[in-house]
Order: sequence, then C-alpha cells, then structure tokens
Amino acid sequence: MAKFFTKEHEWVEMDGAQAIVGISEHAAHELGDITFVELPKIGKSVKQFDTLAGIESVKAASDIYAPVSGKVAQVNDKLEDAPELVNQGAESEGWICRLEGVDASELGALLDAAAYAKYLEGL
Amino acid sequence: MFTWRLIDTGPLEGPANMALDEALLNCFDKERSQPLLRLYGWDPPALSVGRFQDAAAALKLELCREEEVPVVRRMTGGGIIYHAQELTYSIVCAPGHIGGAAGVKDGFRRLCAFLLGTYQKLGLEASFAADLNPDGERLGARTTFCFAGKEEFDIVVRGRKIGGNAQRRVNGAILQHGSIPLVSRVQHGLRYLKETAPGAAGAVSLAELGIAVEASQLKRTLVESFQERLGVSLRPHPPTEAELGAAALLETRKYRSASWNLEGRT
Repeated sequence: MAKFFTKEHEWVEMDGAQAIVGISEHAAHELGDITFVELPKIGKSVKQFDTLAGIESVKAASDIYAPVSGKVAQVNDKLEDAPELVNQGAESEGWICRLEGVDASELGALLDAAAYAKYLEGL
Repeated sequence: MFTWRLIDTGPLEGPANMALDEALLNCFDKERSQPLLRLYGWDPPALSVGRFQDAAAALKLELCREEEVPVVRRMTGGGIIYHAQELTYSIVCAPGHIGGAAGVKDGFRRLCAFLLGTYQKLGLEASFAADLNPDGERLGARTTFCFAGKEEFDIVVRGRKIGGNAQRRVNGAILQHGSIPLVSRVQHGLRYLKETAPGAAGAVSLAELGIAVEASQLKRTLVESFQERLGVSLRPHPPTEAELGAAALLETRKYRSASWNLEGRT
C-alpha cells in the first residue's frame, strides 16, 4: 500500500485492516535530534487530525496528529529507549503506532506522495 | 521597519505566566497576527517542568509542598528550571517572521541571537555552544535539570552555560521562552531534585560573571538587542481582552491543576 500524508507532516499506510502511522522524513529533519516520543496509550480512540502523540527535539515540544480516525492497536515501544530511530528512518523503523477500526475513505482527505512532495516545494 | 509587539507583564505567579504564554500562542494567527516579545518574572519563585517530564520521578514533591514552592508544567520541551531572580522572555511568531527558518535548530539560532547580543552589550563574550565545542563535548543529550545540559544553541560565557530556552511548535506557529538569570539560584533549585545533576555546576548567572544589573536596565538592553538582531522595531501593546480571557481560563483549568502540572494530562 502507498503512504498518504497530512499537511502537518504525518504519514499513514494501510496494512490489511490496520493503519501504520508516523511522521514524515521532512518533519524528522526539521525537528532535528529527537530526544523523546510520547507514545499514545493502547486502546486510545482518536478522530482524524486530533492529537495522537507528542515529540520533543532540541527542547522543542510538538504534537503528532492522527492522519485518520481509529483506535491505537500497537505502539512502537522501541522509541521509548531509542527515539533517534525516528531520525534514522521516520518512514520505516521510526513508525509511531498502528491504528485499527480505520475508515479508509478518510485517506481521501490526505495527500499522496506526489502531492505531498509538491506541497513541500511550496513551503 | 516591521513592528513586533512588546508586552511587559512584570512578575506573575507561575500558573499565570504559563497560562498567558499559551493564550498568546493560541490567539496568534500566523497569517494575520503581529509577532510578539513578552518580558516577565516569577513571584513567588517556582519550579517549572518540561512538557514531557515525569514530575514525580524528578522532583521531591513533598519538599516542594513543605516549602510552598509551586510546580508548574510548561508546554515547551526541556528540563526543570527553578525560576527566581531572573528575567524571563517569551516570543510568539511564525517561521516567516524569522527569515523562513522552519527547522527547530535554525529557529533556535535565529531566536537566540538577541540573547547573544544582550550579553555582548553587557560586556561579556557570549557564544553559541555549537560554535565553541572544541573538545567534542556531547551536545543535545536529554537532562532532567535544564541548566545541567547543553544544546547547540545554548549560550556559553567563559565556558559556562547561561540561561536556558525552550520551544513549543503548533500549527506552524512557534513559542519560545527562556530565562536570563540575574543571580544564580541553581544550587537552591537542585535541592528539589531527586537525583544529583553534576553538569549544573557549569551554569552561571550575570552576578557570578561580575555583572550587577537591575531587571529594568536588563530589559532595556534586551529590547535594544532584539530590535537590532531581528531588524524589527518593538512597540508596547499589552494583551488584549481576548488574550487575557483565554489566559484566565487556562490558568484555572490547566495550570493550577495537579493532573496537568504533575502528570501532563489535560
């Protein structure tokens, strides 16, 4: 499945019935050295674009928003001890969590990779 | 010349300070609002903890209660600060107001330049830690106590860190606030920490550097440096009714609640 992006720089990729969520490589680069990721609680329900998690880099605190609605099924607990994984591979091993109960039609409100690349050019 | 707002609220209680900073950020429209610099202080002295810190794990909360030292959680990153005898500032702006610096590190470099200028005007040789660091000291490690660690854009005078700065980024807007210690209260602040913070001995205040300056004089120097470094003019413009109303709500509901201050839950 392809990745879809928000204008706030999160990505989401469907994997069967679940959605894998993270922040984009662009966001990780802009944040600089990531020192902490506040992972969401398993079972937490979020609506699309609500605050899902938190992230800190260089003493800057930012929110991570849910690219789609759903319930947190799994978190990447490797980030508890190694938040730098997000810098190393924001769109791969630095994923944040998996959501279940996702309505795939919400992907329509997001940008595909080409549209996101174009959006970044305009920033 | 582009004009920024200057807000001088004087010293307030910790929860009121943090509520007003958040209200100024929440009411800020990155397209239409004027960016701002706020100057303030803390009365009574208080401890602030970073957005994601575990207050109970880091602080002797019992001792804080006994000695009536308030603990308030900031919405910004970074570590614990004991606020007393300092000049505190906050800035609310968008990347477009600081030359399009969207990245966190670049933002810190641009938004801390006026601090370098302030210290230089006071006759101190101040530099960013990133521009010194000759012996490959590790920068950027996460520390419990703010003044115990060094980030690339922390300011260093005679090899010692002075003050600390932290940011909150929300929907393309930036809030940065930070401290300029007039007199060092680091040792007093360390009493409230559960663990020792060896690096904190490296922190320094203006008084320890032989600079005896009143807060009012320091404010004038800082305003001058801010205008020069950012190439803007500052004009007094106190908080609006809407900002004060938002701050009052945040103070009662968030910054005076134990669930936020101690656990970080809203």
